Amino acid sequence: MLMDAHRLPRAAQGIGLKPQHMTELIAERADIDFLELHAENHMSAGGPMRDDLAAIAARYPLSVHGVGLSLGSAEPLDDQHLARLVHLVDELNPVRVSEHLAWSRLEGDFYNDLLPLPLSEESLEVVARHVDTTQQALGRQLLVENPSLYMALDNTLSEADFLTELVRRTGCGLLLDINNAYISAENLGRDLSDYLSALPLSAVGEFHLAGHSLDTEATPPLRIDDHGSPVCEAVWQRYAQLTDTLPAVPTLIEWDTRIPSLPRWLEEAALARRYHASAATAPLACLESAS
Amino acid sequence: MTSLAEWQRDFARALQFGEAGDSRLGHQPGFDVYRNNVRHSLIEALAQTFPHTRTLLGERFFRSVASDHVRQRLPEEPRLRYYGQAFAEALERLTVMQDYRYVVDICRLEHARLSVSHAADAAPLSADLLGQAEDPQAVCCMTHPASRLVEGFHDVLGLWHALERGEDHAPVGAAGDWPWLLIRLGRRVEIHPVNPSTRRLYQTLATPTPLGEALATSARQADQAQVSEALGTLLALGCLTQAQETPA
Repeated sequence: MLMDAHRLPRAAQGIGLKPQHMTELIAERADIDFLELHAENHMSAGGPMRDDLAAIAARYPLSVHGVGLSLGSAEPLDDQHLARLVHLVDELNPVRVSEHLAWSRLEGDFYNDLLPLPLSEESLEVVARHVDTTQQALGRQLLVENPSLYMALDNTLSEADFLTELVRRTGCGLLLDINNAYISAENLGRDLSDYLSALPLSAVGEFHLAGHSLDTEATPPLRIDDHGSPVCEAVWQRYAQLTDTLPAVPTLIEWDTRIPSLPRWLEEAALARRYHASAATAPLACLESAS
Repeated sequence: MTSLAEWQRDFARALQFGEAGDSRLGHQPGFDVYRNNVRHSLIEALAQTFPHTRTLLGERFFRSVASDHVRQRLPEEPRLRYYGQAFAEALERLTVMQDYRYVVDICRLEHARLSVSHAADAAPLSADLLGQAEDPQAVCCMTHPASRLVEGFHDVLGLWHALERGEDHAPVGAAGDWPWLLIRLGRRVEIHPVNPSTRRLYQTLATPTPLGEALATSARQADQAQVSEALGTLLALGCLTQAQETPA
């Protein structure tokens, strides 16, 4: 379970923190429950960007989302990078810390993508060891995000079984990216309902929602997790269902390419409030004030 | 079944070299998404780090050079702002760039500016503070962490300022040996041309050194007046800081 010290309001809504919105977010407190930052973009020794982050941290709860720890690499974790993550987390005391079920580092090279790994007992041991190491270094729970996949791999464990066992062995939580789950299901032809129902949902500590694109030139066409557009209707519908089961879990709207204005992004977060299952039973005034 | 380590090596080879590595992996539908993501994101990272170099080279040539660089050299760590450290050297090696070495200068300045922007904070050592020390010669100094020395081929200061204003060209100054010092002041990074004595003293103070010792080292290659002037320049620019510990 998540530690009490890292609680957010029930059904909290957040957006990503981007450099182009820093000034606006500092000048006036936006109507948002938390901001999520990509850890690697804020691992600076000093300078004005750190000053800005301190100003943001004084105004908003933050969550730290790592994209470069490479939990799925067969080789050991990069100690220096882990130390930088620990330093950032110690400084910010974020409400959530998360990383990915993916790898990106091999023999001194960093491949700047969330690469897939075949799910097996061996990879489970590797990822569990790395999650253990990370949680011990952080002194707190890590959420691990499900991937968006573009190709089938030789798995001997299903993704849901893998994540279930990872949670059991390490005590980590899950960051359930509903867009990723939808993309993987569409690209790999797997049943999204079966996948979601097999996940250990009680371990979910955060939802991610984002837009994706459709590459119609690929054979067969592929859904690409580019975080560059509004959330699609199918993902909203799954979100509404999942929040019925997990009404208190915070939600983050991601947007990493073709980043919109701050007001437009906040509109998308307000839309998440409307799709949230609790909206169906909330008084009308609550809904209006959320939009 | 191959081990995870072997599988990841095959995957990485297929990412970098297309058809090489495990052909079954590299030719699977969907694999190209990963290959494109890696390549595109790194080219984009270079484009963000080197906007002025991009302006000078033009979009098409910049992307072609960046694409070659990405193929030859991947980042060593996930903080992409530090990627591109070797990009200026890669440009410099291109035969076609021999007549455009000022572009290499701009490229070096851009990378140095980024490093300076994110470097550690430290109080600059001022002439006043130094004057208050019981024995100024014994004060252990070093270069300010948010400063860098860049060696250039041309006087590109006018061109740099024009690019900063959003213009895409300006006359390039004289060719020669042009050392530049970059220093962060508040939110701004300033670029100053410096003379050889100042460069030498700055280089001597790259590691913590008692000031008297650093001045004596510099004085072996310049007269006392030049060394004093160099110290005055570094102090005035805020390029020195007091080191915490005297080296053993």
